[in-house]
Amino acid sequence: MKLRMGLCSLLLLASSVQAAELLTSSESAGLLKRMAVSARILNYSGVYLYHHTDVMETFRLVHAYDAGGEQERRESLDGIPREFVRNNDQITCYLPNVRPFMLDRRAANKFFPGVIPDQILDVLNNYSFKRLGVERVAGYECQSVLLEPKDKLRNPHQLCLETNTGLLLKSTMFAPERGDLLEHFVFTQLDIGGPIDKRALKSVLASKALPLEPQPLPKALPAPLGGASQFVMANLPSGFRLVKEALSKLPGKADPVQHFLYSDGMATVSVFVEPASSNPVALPLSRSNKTVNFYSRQADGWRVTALGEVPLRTVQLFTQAFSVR
Amino acid sequence: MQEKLSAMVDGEWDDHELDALMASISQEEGADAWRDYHLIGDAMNQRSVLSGDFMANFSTRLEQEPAILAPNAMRRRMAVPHKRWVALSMAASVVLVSATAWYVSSARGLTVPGTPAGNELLAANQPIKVAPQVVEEVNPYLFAHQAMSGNPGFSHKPVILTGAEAERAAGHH
Repeated sequence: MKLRMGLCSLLLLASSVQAAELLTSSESAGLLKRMAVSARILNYSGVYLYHHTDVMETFRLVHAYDAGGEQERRESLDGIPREFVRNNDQITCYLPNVRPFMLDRRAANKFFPGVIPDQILDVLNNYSFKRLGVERVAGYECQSVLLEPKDKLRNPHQLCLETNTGLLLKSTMFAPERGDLLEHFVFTQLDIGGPIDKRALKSVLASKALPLEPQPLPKALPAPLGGASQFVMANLPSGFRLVKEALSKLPGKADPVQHFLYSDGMATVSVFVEPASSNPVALPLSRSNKTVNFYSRQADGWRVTALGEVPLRTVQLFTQAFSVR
Repeated sequence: MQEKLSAMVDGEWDDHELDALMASISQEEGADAWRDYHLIGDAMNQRSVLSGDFMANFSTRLEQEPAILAPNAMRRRMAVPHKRWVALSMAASVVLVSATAWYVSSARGLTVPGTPAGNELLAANQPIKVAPQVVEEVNPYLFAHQAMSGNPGFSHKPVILTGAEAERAAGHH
């Protein structure tokens, strides 16, 4: 115990003594690219922990790369069995007694440790990269890097990349001021490199899921609206870019709602605009579950709602930025 | 970078397949069972799988669930030092969790700074039962957000399925 305490204080000392070194843009971009590529082209298998709000879960992950591309299987080890099987950019989710379903390409680019920013340039514009100390995670040494927001509109992130390969071993999102941990991914056991048994990549739950029956092609989707033209967006929080726009059908709501998705490269914010009459609720309404903040207000007969993995102030600014033309 | 990665896999993705899958869900006889599940992807396809009163039903059920401690997760080696352990309801020991965590914290009467509207709503009505209504107000947006953003930040939470519901469906109940 004494030894452990001694070790801990030594480590603490080491990490506090080490001055945070600011990375150049090209170093930062290189780091993000290295992280994305290594997660894709390496063979690795292990178990990681996912801690979020008040919940902790563990997942087992097997990832292989060969001439056929990327194959991957991850399964939840706690609670209801869930399985996510990747074939390159396509991820199929399996649950017992449920029809398998697929995630879209953008979602597939956000699975730990294969996190690919929407726009590397946006990340560089909105966050400063600081090199912290070397840590040890799941038996591997990793270089810790802090992504410090350049303003108060977003949360800090800390990444730890394996020293030799650049594989992301740990990723944490903090609250800006008090530094509370909001979201945390970390490998607890990991093997990098070496052959991967093909059997480990096969879905176990596929046989327990409902069969996928061939279906006729569905009706054409409604044409996307030029929704943005109805509204004026002025003074949007800086550093965010509109990445997607759609009419979204919300559970429990009869009419589709205009949905705008913004990204600063790391964090995303959704803005919803709908006629105010459809929702008699005392507004403005603001909620937080720590990780996600929510703000809704009404103006000129419209209800504008914003939420995202950003500070409350940021979602509030988003709702204020929207007005009817 | 992204272009490169996308280029590598161009042609791998078939939107029609996904659409067919989504359509099969709403057309199948099994659609009833599906109503108890959340398939967030439906929002992406602008098609509703959920019944309108799903949230109401869920909130009621959630209140009836016994509170237990998250069992297996705690026994594992934890790398997070100052974790505050909390009681989680059975229904909340759930799949991909952010929305669920929201249910739980609200069901416990968590109040949020700067929410006069929400608090007044609570006070004016039955104090305990109104919280889920506020939650209901938030959740549809949260689902749609997660559906579209895929995995904002570094998590993966595009799917919401309650553990209790899945267990019932799987016949463990």
